Amino acid sequence: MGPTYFVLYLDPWWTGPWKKIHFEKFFDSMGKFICLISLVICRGVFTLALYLRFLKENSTEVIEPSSTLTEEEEPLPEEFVLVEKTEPDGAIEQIVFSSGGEVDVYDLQALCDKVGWPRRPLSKLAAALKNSYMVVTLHSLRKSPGSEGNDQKKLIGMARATSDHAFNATIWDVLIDPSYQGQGLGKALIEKLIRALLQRDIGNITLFADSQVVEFYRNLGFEPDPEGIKGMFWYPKY
Amino acid sequence: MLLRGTISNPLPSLHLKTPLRLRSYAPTATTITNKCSISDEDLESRGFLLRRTISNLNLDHLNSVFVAVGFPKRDPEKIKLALENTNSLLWVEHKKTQKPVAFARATGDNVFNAIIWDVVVDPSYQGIGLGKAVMERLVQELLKKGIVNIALYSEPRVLGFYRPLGFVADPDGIRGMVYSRKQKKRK
Repeated sequence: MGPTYFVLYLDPWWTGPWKKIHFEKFFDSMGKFICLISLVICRGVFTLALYLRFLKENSTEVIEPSSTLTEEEEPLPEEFVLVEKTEPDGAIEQIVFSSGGEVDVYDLQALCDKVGWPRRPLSKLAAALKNSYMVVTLHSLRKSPGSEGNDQKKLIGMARATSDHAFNATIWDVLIDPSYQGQGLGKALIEKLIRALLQRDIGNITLFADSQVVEFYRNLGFEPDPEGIKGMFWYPKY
Repeated sequence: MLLRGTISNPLPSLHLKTPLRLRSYAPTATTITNKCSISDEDLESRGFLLRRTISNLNLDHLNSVFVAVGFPKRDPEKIKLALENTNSLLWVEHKKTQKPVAFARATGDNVFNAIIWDVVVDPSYQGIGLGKAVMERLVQELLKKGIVNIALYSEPRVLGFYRPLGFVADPDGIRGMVYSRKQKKRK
């Protein structure tokens, strides 16, 4: 009913000789013309979307979002910016991921203090890092406007994995600075670590998780007690 | 977001002759050296030699022991790479055949944590204490290095083998987790 009425209404304006039309009527009909066109376009888009969805659901090929495919296949760069944000004062903060393993033990000790871990001897920390197969870090790089290259670099996250370089890897010491928690950085850190390990053909990636973080790792693809296999510790200190 | 491991407290002095035992109910490192179920001499008299390096270890023979206990057959080159990057390993050689009949290894950062992998005993030689012998000595070696956080992943049917050796499953609710690509895709 609507469109018919509209066309009828339009007809004299569209086909007839140009006459001096009252302003309100002109805008009124223009408005309705625009509405009609928008409606047609929307309907078209909607139909197209439905059609595409139909195609997708009925195809036998699994169409994965292209970004995930290429992401997994592309070799992970050793260092890259994960997140960048501009602060109100114009300063830019970048969260940089690195798998190069360059960690200042003093920075690490400070980070461990922040998350409340008991202190470990610095020499042992350094040795543990050196003997780890992979150490991944998150640093916050803050560039103030007008600071002329005096960037503030801060260690805000770390994870490491030990491995036999062939079959198994075990992830230890996952930590994120409490003031940067809850932003998905821990998730990103572990995802990148997993990807780097898989790219090096390490098929078995394991870890031991406190009960509170089992869900966190489950969401990243880890399964507790697969096939009933249990993690055991030698005379653990409860 | 924290993985808790048992973290050793710093030792009060660096010049201790015997390592301080921090857990009152656990045996000390010194007592453990004297406390093996079967002594080295006993093993030798029965025709078994204890080895601690991969020299003289035939990887194909080792692979066949792995297969015999049900492990998937693995590329010998990869096994060689894994063993070269393993900090501690122990195996038992059968004198007569010069073949490995028991094996265990541990990887880790050599300071805080160690995980024991590939604990196997040739089925024809099971039940005479070889697995226990290998495990006891491997744990001893790790403790001597100062590593107190020793873990492993145990199939359900051999939990009873590890318990008498001092291993506890899921202590304090800690769960062993393994990454599964299928699991991730299912999401």
